[in-house]
Amino acid sequence: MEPEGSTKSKRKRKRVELEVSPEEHEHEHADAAVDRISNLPDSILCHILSFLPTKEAVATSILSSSWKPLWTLVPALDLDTQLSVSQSQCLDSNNRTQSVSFFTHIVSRVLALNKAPVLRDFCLTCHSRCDPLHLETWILTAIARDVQQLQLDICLDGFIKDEFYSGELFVLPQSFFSCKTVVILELWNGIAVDPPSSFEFPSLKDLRLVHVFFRNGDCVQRLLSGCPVLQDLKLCSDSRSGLIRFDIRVPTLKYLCLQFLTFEPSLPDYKLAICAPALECFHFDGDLRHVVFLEKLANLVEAGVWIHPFICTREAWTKGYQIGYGDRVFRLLKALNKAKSLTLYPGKKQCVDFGSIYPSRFKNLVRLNFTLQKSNWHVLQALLRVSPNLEVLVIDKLYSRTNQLCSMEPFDGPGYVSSQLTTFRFNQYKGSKYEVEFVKYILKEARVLKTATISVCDTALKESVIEELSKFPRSSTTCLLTVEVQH
Amino acid sequence: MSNTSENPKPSSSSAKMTLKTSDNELFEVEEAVAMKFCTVKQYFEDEKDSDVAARGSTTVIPLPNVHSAVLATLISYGKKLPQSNAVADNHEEEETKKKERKKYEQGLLKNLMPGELLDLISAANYLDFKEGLEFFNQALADHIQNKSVEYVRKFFGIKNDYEPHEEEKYREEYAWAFEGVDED
Repeated sequence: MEPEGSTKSKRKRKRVELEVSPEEHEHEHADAAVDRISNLPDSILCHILSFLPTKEAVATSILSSSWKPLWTLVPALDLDTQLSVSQSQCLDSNNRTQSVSFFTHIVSRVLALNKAPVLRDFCLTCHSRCDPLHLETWILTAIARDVQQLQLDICLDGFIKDEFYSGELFVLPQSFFSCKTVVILELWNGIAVDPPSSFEFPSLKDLRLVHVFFRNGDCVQRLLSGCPVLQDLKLCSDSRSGLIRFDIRVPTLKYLCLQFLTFEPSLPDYKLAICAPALECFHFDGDLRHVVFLEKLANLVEAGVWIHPFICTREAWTKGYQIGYGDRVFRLLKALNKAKSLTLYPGKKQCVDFGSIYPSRFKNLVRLNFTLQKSNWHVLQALLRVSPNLEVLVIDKLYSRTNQLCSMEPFDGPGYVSSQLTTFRFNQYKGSKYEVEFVKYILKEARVLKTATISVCDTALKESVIEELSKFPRSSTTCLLTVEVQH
Repeated sequence: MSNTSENPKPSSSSAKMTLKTSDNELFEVEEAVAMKFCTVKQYFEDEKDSDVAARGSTTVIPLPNVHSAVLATLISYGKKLPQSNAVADNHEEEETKKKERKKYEQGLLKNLMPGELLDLISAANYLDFKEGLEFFNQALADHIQNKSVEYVRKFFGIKNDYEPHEEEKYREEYAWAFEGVDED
């Protein structure tokens, strides 16, 4: 963070200090009457200003004359069309045009006045109609100034909170793809990504694509092929993004986070093939369709899967969707069997025609955090049976009234829980039949269990739960059973 | 905190260094934490080159620009950071440590006077303690965010040396930058 110059001068200062007696250092807790902040080195003040949105950094120029040039030296720009509050409150089109040209004027001015040797961070949020030519110019200026962290959020037809953008798209210029310095790239909303057939982002390590648009599935792989050192990828897509059949093939990828939100039943399933053998962390959130791993995830350490299947009231579509649902869930799980830590919510749809977890074994799994629904007990059971080295088990509940109890194997005989289990926690415990049976089983079979914590939501329940559970035999002599209340 | 060093040179498992502050107090610090202060690291490496035997607790590193109260805070912050040469924790331990750190950070900032914060920033700058600078500079920025110019001036005791007409002109020119802040 510190520019080269200040490091050198510090060293010189240190040598002098050793020969000369130390100056009296003002170490009393100074009251605010003495202005010490303005005496901090410029590099520190610029560092502080870099945490502020540009609007506020500019305002500091008026604190005193020594502060005047500081904002122009900050190597970061964070600009938002909400810059001018009173302007953006104007609703009629005439004033809106004025406010847009005002924003254009501000951004152009700020960019021109910024004298930082390198523009490290450039963050632009444009949620109003702005001439795409201006946007292109600003983005290309940032690239020309060796930007390292670039964030763009563009909705030319305005942005409505909690709704997906469906207006005109801003197309990234082809010269955008020749940026040699960008390390972190974030693209949001109404941006169309159509990379040329051959380009390279030689420094890009972290890429986030959030609800942006692709002409077709090939655009994704073309984009990823141009990122030879990519380590982090986050892709948030919904059914309108144009991604139906697409691949993610990145040999250097360590962290992958996928979020798929489907909300229109008329659109076809998506088919995603992933080839990322170096992956260490995998997160999936949303509607699970066809996800295939082309190479084993031998280096996987952590996985998080949170499934929200799309709920549709149209009978025919629902049936068609459900067929193979359980199969898809288990297929994804099996691909993650090398994980050491797994957080899982397999969704609340009953696993009709569900697949099976066999023959996979989760030998490395040490920690499992499972969110329980009435319909997914059997998934929990299946996982527990194939995780012989599990040490920590945490259960959270997410019950809904419409949920039906699925088929569940009765807990009898050993083999339903690992012999290595040391920590067990059950949140939102209500004391229902299956919950009681489950806890009883854990206490009975977990031979090296150290702590079992049952968390209830209702204070009134606490006593009866303690009474019931303390009666159950425990095979671990050192097991501490705690019942707590957590709302 | 275990210090299984990955340094090729042989070293004791928890080597300590002694730092001496401006008010002549001595602080014994684990090597892993002290090395986060790049100024200390550089001094140590310079010393090491000249005398291989003088290592660990026999070396006293003088920090004439840092007061003991400030150094104590910086050291305790340094201890809470993930140690680069520690044995890899499992997921559970990592999560616990993260939560602890967040709690510690919140507690630290809660009752901090502006003067104390500036002391910490100055010292972190002198020590070239990057994580400390990142944290305390961010804390300062968080504090002045959304506050009016008058508030910031008062809070830090900044003297306004603009002529009234100069200030007026500037405020007009950059009117958009002054809109929508808390009037304190």
